[in-house]
Order: sequence, then structure tokens, then C-alpha cells
Amino acid sequence: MTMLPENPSAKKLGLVIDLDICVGCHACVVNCKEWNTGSEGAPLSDVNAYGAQQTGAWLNRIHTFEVTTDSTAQVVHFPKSCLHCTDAPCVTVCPTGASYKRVEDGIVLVNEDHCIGCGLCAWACPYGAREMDPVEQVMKKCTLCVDRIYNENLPEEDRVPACVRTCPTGARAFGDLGDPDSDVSQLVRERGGFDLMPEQQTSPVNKYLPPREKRHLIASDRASTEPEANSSKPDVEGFWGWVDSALAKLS
Amino acid sequence: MRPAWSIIVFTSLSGLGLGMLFWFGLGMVVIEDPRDLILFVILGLSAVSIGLMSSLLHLGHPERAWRALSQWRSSWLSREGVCAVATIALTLVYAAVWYLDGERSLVLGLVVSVLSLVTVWTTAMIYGSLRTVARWYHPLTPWVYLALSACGGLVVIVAWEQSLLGESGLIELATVALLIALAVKAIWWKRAGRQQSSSTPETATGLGSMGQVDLLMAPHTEENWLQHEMGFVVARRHVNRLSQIAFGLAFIVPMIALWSGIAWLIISLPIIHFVGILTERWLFFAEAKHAVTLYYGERH
Repeated sequence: MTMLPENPSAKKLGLVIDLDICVGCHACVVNCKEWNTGSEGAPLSDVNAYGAQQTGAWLNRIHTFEVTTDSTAQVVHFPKSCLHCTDAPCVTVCPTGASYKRVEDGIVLVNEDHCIGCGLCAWACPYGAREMDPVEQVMKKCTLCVDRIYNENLPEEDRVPACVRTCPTGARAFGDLGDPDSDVSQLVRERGGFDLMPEQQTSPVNKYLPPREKRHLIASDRASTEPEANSSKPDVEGFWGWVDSALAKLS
Repeated sequence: MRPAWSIIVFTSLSGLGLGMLFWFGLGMVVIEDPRDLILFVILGLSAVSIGLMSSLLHLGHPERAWRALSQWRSSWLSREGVCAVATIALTLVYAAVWYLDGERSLVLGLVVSVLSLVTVWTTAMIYGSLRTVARWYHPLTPWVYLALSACGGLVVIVAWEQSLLGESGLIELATVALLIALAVKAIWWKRAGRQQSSSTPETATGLGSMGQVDLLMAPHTEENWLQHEMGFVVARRHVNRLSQIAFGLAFIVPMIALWSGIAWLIISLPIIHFVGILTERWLFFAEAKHAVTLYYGERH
């Protein structure tokens, strides 16, 4: 049924991705592909994998952006997968009921046996979270590793999404974002976690944590962009001038 | 967006057929004998059905297409399917009753007309309801589809009457319909074209407070399905020429030619008009920019 759940559970499982920590190693991308190729749905196929113009379905991609101001430039690695939106437009547009949002934990899934491969859900998703499988011709998307997180055959530490388990830097956290006291919710509060494209009104469950302000950026920023700091400098010169500026830096 | 031929033919041809059925339901088509009735119904329903079958070519699994009739409560695509099937079925009933009674049923006719319009509306809303494509997400989008469908239906009917009766009493109406469609489409082009997406690379990454965001490295070296499907850029280079062709063939030429009195020209107008509509529809898709391209270095 592609209506969104009328009485969804308060539980909203999702990811918190720390853009301050991610180094763009693509390990999460590779492990995602590996796990989901061997999991319940059709394998994530590749076409012409070793030739020119290879293509394939992946559920997790890492973009790398450059964020610039007049005086600074910073590289941000940006992992992107399904955000399991509360108001998921990909679910409501589905004509067959193949695309659905689970009542019990909010995970957005595709029933591949019912998918007609029309692609409209991918058109409705602003994040590019859905990709058509080039061989199976059905829509593939992140399942939040629903076949891991509840899997009692796995050791407990493995009952998290493959991307989270494999991240060597700990840039990805998994948990219940519907519970304000959960570790992930606290992390989001403490670090000022944000939504992607809030203007698209999808209410994503996954949150992103901003890169922390870099110290050398702060220094160069102040020097070049704050006229007050410059004008107050010539007050005292020499040793006392150094003391003055050192104390100013401490406070 | 990638202008797939299956979708272009689907929306334009079924739109044309539904426009024919709309006027047919209103009793605007001169039907002199039962043979004409059957012929017109075959013509109208063929356009609708070939359009629908073309849409199936777009599917990865056309054999499961029947499932698409199930989610009419939330999905415009599903509603389109349901309405199209209902329109086809009721047109057959309407025509059968007419054929057997020898008289047109006013009520059934009205139902066919309304259903035709509703189906065109649902087709348009498949695209008009997508917030991700700012250009389509505009209140005028479904009205464009309705106006184009209605004038296209009339152009076919005028040609039909011209070929069977040697004249048509609908030339004035067709001219007015073409003029309205031209105006609606022109206004849409201007307004929807200007409609800026509120999404930017800054909102897409949430990093706008830190500065300007530009793509430094794509996630992969080759184009992926998302870019293939939604990153189509060819049309943007030829927009002006193509829109001139679309407006010229779909509206201007028919409006003038309808009054020419040249029979073969009037009879061939549906083809000229339809080529214009195909061009219009190609641009409708090709010009549209999808929010996801913001992650791949585009700035709308």
C-alpha cells in the first residue's frame, strides 16, 4: 500500500552522518554493494563492469564538495543514501504499492516482485536515493540493512547497517531518531544536525552533522573579514601589544 | 529529464484521443450513419490505447502493469490508469448504446466527456505533482495538458468532417480552442520556465552556512542511471528553435490553414498539429531540471 502509514510507530530508524569525520574512503559504498548483492532482493547488478562506460546500481554514493567563501576553501566528503523520509514522496507516487514505508520502524522499502520499473519514485525523490537495476529492471534502494539489524543469527555488533559497521572512522551512526533520548538523537542535538533540502518537505529521518569550524579557517577568516579586529590592533605595540593579542585569543 | 519516446508518445497520443472523446461525448461530432460511429470510436480509442501501450514500453516489467491500477488513493500514475480504463470502457458502452438505440445517450455522453477530461488531468498531474521538478510543479501544468488535448481533438474532428462531409461547422470553435491552448502554453512557458527551484547545492548539502558549495569530485567516473534519467541537457541548447517549431506546427499553422478552404490541407492538419505537440512534449521533458542534479554539479 503506497499510502504513508496512518498511525506510524514513534520509532524512526535512520542514520546520522558526520561530515566532520568522513574522509571519503568509499568503504561504506563498497560494503553496501557487497552486502546488498548477497541479500534478499535481486543482486545489485553491474553492466560492462570492466569495460568503458560501465554502469550499475548502488545504494550509497559519496560525493565530494568544495565549500568556499571569499577567503577560505574546504573539502567536504558527502555520503548519500536513502534518508527514509517521514513524508516520503517516493512512496505515495508508486502506482503498484511496491514502494512502502514500514509502520513499525519507518524504513522505506521496495517489494521487488510488485515493482513494474516505471521509475516514477526515483523522479519523486530529490536525493537520488533510488536507482533502477540495469539487469532486473526493478527499483533498488537502501533497506537500512533490514536483513541485518533484526537478524538474530548475526553477532550483536553486526546488527547495524553494513555501511555503519564498516566505516573505519566512525562517521556513521545508526539508531532510533524518533526517540529523543537515543544516542543518535542526542548526537543530533549536540552537534546541530540538519536535514537535506528541507524545502522539499520530505521530513528526512537521516540527519547530517556539519563539519566543525576549522581552527586555521577561523584565524584567517578573522584576519581578512573582520575590520574591527584590524582597526583595534595599533592601540598598543611591542611586548604589551603581544600580551594584548595573546589574552584576546585566550578569551 | 530524459525525454523518453515512450512517454512522449503516451502523453501526446492518448491526450489527442481523449480530446476527441471529450467532444464526441458532448455530441459535437456529426455522425450521419452507424458506420461513421464505429469508425470514429475506433479512431479515438486507438489513439488512447496506442498511447497507453506506448507507456508500457517505458516499464521495466510491463507484464506487471495491471498492478498499477491499485494505488489510486495516493498515486496520480495509478489514477491515470484507472481513469483511462474507465474512459475506454464507458466510451464503448456509450457507442454501443448509441449504435443499438440509434440515438445518443446524453447522460452517457456527458460521463465520457468528463472522464476524458479527468484522465487528461491525471496524466498531467503525474508530472505536475513532482516537487523535485520545479518547472512542472506549477498550478498551470494540468491546464496546459487539458487545453492541448481539447484543441487537438477538435483539429482531428474538423479534418474528419472535412474528409467525410466536405465541410465542418467546427472551424470557429477549433480556432478559438487553438488560440486558448496557445495562450495557456505560452503563459506556462514563461511562468514555469521562470519558476526557480528553491533547492540549491547549498540546501542539498546543508552546507550553505559555510559558504558556496561546488562539486569537487563526482562519486563515480561514468554517468550513472540517475544522471542518464534526470541530467538531460541537449535540449537546452536548441530551446528557441524547437519552441518555434512547436508553436508553429501545433497552433499557428492549423489556425491559418483551417480557414484556407483547401481540403487536403485541412485533412492533413492533425498530423501537422501532432508533430507540433510531439515537439512541445519533447521540450516539456527535456527542459525540465531535476533537484538531484544539484548533487552532480548543476546549479539551476
